[in-house]
Amino acid sequence: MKKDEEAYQYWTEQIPAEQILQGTKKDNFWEMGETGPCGPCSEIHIDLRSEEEKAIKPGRELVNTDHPEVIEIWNLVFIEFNRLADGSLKPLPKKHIDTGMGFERLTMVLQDVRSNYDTDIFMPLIDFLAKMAGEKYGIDRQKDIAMRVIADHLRAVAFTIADGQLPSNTGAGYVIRRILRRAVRYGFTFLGFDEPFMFKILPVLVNQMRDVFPEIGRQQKLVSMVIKEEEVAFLRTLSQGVRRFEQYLEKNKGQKVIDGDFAFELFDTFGFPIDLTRLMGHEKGMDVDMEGFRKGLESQKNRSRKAAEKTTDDWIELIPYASETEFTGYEQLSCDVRIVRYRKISRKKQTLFEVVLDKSPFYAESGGQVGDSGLLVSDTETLHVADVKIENNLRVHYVTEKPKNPEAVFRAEVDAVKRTLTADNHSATHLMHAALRLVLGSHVEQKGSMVDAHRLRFDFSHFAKMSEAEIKEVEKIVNKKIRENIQADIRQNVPIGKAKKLGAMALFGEKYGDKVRVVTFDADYSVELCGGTHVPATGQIGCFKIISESGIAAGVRRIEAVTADAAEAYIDEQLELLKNVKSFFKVQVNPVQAVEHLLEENSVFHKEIEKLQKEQAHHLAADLMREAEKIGDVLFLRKEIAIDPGQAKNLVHQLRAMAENVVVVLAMENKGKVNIAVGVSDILAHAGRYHAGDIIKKIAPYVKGGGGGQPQFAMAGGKDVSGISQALAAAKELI
Amino acid sequence: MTSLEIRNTFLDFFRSKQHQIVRGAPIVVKDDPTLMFINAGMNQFKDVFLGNTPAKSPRVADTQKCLRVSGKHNDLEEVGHDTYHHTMFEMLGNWSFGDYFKKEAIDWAWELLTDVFKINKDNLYVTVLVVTKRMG
Repeated sequence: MKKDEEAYQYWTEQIPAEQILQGTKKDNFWEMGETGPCGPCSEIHIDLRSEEEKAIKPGRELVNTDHPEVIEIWNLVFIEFNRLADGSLKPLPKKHIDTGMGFERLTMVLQDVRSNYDTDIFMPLIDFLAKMAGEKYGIDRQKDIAMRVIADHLRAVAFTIADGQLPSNTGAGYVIRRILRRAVRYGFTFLGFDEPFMFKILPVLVNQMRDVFPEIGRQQKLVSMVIKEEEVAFLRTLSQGVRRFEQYLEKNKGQKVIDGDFAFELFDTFGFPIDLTRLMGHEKGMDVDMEGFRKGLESQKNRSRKAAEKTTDDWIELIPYASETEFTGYEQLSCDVRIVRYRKISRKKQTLFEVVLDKSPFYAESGGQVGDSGLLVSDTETLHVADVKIENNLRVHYVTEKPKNPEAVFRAEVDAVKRTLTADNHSATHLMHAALRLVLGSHVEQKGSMVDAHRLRFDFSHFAKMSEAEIKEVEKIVNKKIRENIQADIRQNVPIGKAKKLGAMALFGEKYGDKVRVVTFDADYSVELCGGTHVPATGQIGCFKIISESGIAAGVRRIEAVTADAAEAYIDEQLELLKNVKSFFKVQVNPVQAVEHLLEENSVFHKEIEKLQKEQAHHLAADLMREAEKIGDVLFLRKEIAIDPGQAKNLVHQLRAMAENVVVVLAMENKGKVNIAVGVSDILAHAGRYHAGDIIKKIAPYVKGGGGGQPQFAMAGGKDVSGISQALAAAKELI
Repeated sequence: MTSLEIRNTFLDFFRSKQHQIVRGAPIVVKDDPTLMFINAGMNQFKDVFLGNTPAKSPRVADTQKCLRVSGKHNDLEEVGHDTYHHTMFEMLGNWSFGDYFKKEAIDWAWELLTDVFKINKDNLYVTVLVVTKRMG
């Protein structure tokens, strides 16, 4: 394709030819990715400049030049090709239209203002914020920037949390955390907010948007709590970062440049935007090494890019695409299948094959339930299915070896043990969800879920730590429902309206079609929209046990639990521990009492031992002092002694206090090393007659060591055991 | 015109052109390993463009919450410094899945901007793909 003649033709029917501009491949050819659907596009731009400016330079010369007042408002994409891995273009059998128009920009144009932020989309937020800060928008450049940052970021953070993404340390959650922190930082620095403030603006946003996006209204309480807690935590981190910055300044006095690595550390660890570090630097007359900072940033980006690097070959089509893969796995665990298409992918040195089947009994990871694994077996080969995922609505089987005879009929066999255990955990999750709503209240809503063959993990909204009694109660209800052996009532293709009437709990942040699957365990107990695989009746779950309850964010709790064999193993393990404890204490009935008794006894013994040790040390000191020799008016003691160097300090202090004029030198040998301790009584030290530190400096060389200390006490370490007697002799010479 | 009216006018216009008005997708992407957040209106229809799923209606329009933290107008560190960078924004869009093509897409876009929103035609420019070398 050289020129989009067709589009050009249609445009000439609407607009003078001089307003139709030739676009480049960069701006006028849209691609979904490296490969896949693509096509030419037509952009519509608008010139918002004054008549005087237009007279000087025609708008056509400013299109796509990053001019702030000559901007693109709408992009019309004509999807008519498929880009293959070798770079070639293949016409699509069906052609599509995809258009996108920035709503905030369009509003700016139609409200005849010069900035998106001046529209009625942002002004209510900015006005409220300005009032809260006691400022006015449009007066101070830095403060205006801060207000725009906060208004923009609040929208991003609030909508994303409402759609189910909590701030965290990885992935999407980390992006949200970074955006929120950036806003807090600007509020803190330029608007003087040293307490949480973002959550206070939320009601303005909710009022503005709840009719268009009801999720923001429904999730308001949770969003508010999560934002507030993030603010509190980050304000704490910020003050740590400011301290870190001050320490850095202290250490690098006189420097003119702030190290790029350090600026990156502030950015990465403490969430300081680089412009802030520069500002703080400028206040101290220092510049930031921006080159070094960018290097740090770049290498971090490269690390994460490398981790995600993936190469994908073209699909090898065996059967022309007819319809979605038929999923047979609700009813059966094996069936005969054919490969529709497959391709090779490489990621992190690992090679896998993505295989699409005409029908499949393999459950694909979704709704928190892990994908099935298993085998594809033909007459000539066996392929291992490691995982199954839905990608863009395509059921993709990750196979570890390349199919040699891909045209063959394969027997698809799901790993039945893994599937059964997973179903136990998934059904138990539903039973627990209902129990939580009974015990804690109907504010409990699912915020996340992970179910595999080993355990279940369930995140839900609740605003306090669960008490032991509440946990017990939930376990009790779930186990009762298990014993009732409730038959699963699973209905496919239920219209969403009808499902809601049945009382199904729909989740925000999930994409539901018009028809849904409803999983019911007792219509009065648990009704959920769910695509997962479940037990035929609850009795199969056998047993349910919560193993932990914790908080993962403000207003969000997490429960981990086990069922069936794993629950049995967990209980056995706990009982085994108890049994061992009982047998240690040789009690059968109440080991708790025995432990309490033991702890009491233990503390009495501890006190007794301490007392005895003190007495013993005193006796030792008295015994040693008898060996002291009198040199002039000084009582001098030198002695090689077998005690721990840690105790030597106490001993020396005792000895030097036993008479008015005392000098003590003790040497200890320990694992081939020598320690020497010197003590001088207070009177001798104050009079300046002897100095323990000086003595030790003179004698330590005999044991190939060094050390020093105060006038009253000094210690040294040495490596030569054979020098001990010489050192002690040398000490005597000094007196 | 308030922003609420502008959004509704867009959707009403395409409703009058037989488009089904649908809800945007949640902003967090769950089934596309190449994407963390919805960054364009077309994301939720990717499976249709890839041919993995048949379209539920041939003509669709919506407003989609998008989040971008990198790219020309969305570099996080730039947001706030000027008056047009954003992280979160709404993207209005209309789609044809194997239905109408270039003529209607162009005519309707023009009609909405100039007849309905009354934007002065003299201020508008359009670009069309022209390449000197062979593509790809």
